Amino acid sequence: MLHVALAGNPNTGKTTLFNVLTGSHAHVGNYPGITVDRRTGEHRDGAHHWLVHDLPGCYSLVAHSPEEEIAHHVLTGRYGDRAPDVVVVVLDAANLARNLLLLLQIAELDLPVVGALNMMDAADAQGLHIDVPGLAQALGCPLVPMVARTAQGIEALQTAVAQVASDPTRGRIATTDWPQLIVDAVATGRALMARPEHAPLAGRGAAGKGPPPDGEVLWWLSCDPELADRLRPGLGSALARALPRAEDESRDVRRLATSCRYARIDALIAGHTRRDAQAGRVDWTDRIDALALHPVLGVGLFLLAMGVLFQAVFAWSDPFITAIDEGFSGIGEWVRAALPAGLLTDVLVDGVLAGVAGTLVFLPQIAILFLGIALLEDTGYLARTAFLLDRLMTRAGLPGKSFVPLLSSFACNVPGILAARTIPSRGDRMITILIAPLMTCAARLPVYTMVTAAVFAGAAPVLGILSVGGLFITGMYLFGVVLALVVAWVLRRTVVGGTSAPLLLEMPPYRVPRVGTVAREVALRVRRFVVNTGSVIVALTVVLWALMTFPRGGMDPAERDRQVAAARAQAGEDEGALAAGLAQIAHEDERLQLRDSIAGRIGRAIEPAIAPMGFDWRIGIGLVGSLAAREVLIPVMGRVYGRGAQMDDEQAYAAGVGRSMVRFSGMTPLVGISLMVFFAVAMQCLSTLAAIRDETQGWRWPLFALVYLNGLAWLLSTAVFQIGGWLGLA
Amino acid sequence: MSVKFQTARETLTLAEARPGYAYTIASIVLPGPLGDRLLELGLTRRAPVTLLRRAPLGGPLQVRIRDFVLTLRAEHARAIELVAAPAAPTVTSTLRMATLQPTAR
Repeated sequence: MLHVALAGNPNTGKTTLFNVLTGSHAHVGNYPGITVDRRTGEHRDGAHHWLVHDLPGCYSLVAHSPEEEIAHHVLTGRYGDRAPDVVVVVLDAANLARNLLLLLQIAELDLPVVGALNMMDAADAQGLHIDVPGLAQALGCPLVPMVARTAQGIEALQTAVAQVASDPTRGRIATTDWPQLIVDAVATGRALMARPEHAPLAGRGAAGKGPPPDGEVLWWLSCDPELADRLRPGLGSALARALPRAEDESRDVRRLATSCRYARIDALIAGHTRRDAQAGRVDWTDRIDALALHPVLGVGLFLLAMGVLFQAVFAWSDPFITAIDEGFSGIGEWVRAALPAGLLTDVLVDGVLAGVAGTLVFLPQIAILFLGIALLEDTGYLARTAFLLDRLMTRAGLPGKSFVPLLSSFACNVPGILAARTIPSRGDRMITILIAPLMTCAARLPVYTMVTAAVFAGAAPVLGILSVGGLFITGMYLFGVVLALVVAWVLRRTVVGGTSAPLLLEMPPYRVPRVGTVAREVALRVRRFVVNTGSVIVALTVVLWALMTFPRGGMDPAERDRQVAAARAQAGEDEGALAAGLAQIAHEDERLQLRDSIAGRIGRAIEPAIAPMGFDWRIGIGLVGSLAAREVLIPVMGRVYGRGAQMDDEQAYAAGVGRSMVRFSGMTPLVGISLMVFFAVAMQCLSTLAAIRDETQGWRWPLFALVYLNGLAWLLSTAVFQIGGWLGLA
Repeated sequence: MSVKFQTARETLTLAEARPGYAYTIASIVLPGPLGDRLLELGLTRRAPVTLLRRAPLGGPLQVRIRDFVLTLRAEHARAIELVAAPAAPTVTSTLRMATLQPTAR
């Protein structure tokens, strides 16, 4: 089996080629410790059997970001894999110069390459004529013209790869004619790399047989010295000392190498390509950009696009969510009916099944959001949004690419946090993930509505039309946003560090989105969510169920029998009265059971801690229960006040819970506001916790988020309640 | 869109460039990794570059460099030095500029 690595610039159709080659035999994982996708797959076609490794797209091998670092490591045989037998470099035929840079860099690692000259159709449409055989001859490796999208050229590619595999010299490009400065520098670097104290750490991959090729030495030289030191102790510092950077570009080895490569590339292109005169040719991209990037119309178009996206995620997902909710309720009932009543059934239905339902209920929003993002990206419009937004976002101290994740967090934090994966810079991504929970998500809305309805019911409308409750809810939304900006500012300067990534973005030509690619992306993300995040959600749901169920308390059985008998006696023949009476007893039973459970005890135990915010132990239990999902506060409070947990009429039920809160827990308008502030800030959603864990690959950041958000919530809520009380606003 | 040429030879930064005019890169005054990256993207000496548009309020610039379009921030554009392109370009690249007739201004 041949090891074939697939390298290339972003936007060259590399992923399309990978999908065409591997079909459904692809596997997506992670590289250790980094959130970059690792894509591998098998290509089987007759005599050809390849293990294809799709490297992250990069413009250069020099390690400016994790993507390039990984590409280099895979090509040089780290991570325990052996170095590839053949490297297929996917080139955008319409963009040859920049693409050939990567090809030369890879060739300098002494690896046999095959150039896949992709997107030939786009090149033809632009009137570009390439003398492929001539260019291949001059370059020194096979060049295969292709249109990966329609699978044209696959056989030729297979043939070329097979030829190079059997005779690697056919794919080895001659070294660039370096000037003396570079030749000397490479010799110095090679000598340093040979020293035993700079050898790679044990178990961290190939030291390679024999002296490293030119490209390898230049790579280490061009690396950030700190990064180099981390991978091979002291090497970075030693190279920086021996070959310091020069002010003048033409004396700086690293930059001179790039210039020399481009000089070679320019000569190759001039000699073997030709472009037709452009007069009369319609450039759609230019035309659309005249609108899309227009200072006024472009912004309008952008707002429209975001509005549609938000509406899709927020509202169009509703029918699907309801269907999943009801579907699982139905399954739950069926399971209860089918299995004998008892603890096991309870765990199954209220623990495991509830957890699974709780995971799958996010699917519609995640699927729709990622569909939206994939479409934006595939058409090329996403790059335009960066152009429009950059100024505004940097002024606000936020990374430019965090707009879409934060916008979707208003619908639900979970897909918003997952969408942060599209942010390339690690620091920017972390900040986005850590402030996303402050975007008021849809689940908080029922809580806000219940609270404002209960405490502001009688208040006169402001200015005659705006309801007080409505104003407060809007206020909570704004509060969340403002707080997020403040927190982002603080985080940047303390915990997260680093500066925001510089904006350097290719603006690709517009393109009709490819259904297959888009569908595949969405399917991959959804699957990853269900498997990774879902398992954590299910586990946490079971734990929460246990907290609310054990120890088994409730009414004393003798007392219960007595009450049932009394209810029967009282109701007599009246079925309705009997049912109501029995329901009453059942609710009372639930109330006591919850009070005696661990969750109940926790609620009572934390009362001293939450009293400064104006909450009592009943609300405390509600807070514990709302860890499952924020809107679960309402049914849990329902149980706490002996109203049972089944809602026939949601609005009426919520209203009833609100009234009970006023009556039993002493909820005044001030307490209500304090509660809303708490819900606005606190991290209560276990699913959000699980999503953060998945995106940051560890428990450190989720726990940090938990501590900082809940701590902040406590502080702000307490401040609101205490200061309000001190000011006399009860 | 058709590309224009300035007749006077002058040095200016990308931030001062006029949209639609053809220039070539003189040098990049950005030490460090960002400068390296710009070079790797093709902003080498004598490479053809054209400013397409600027975002309002000091926002990013959209620039055509060789065969593709790049977005970069105004603050970085100030560090890229340009020269007005000669009518007969020294770097015959695949850019359409090579086939147009210069229009005197």
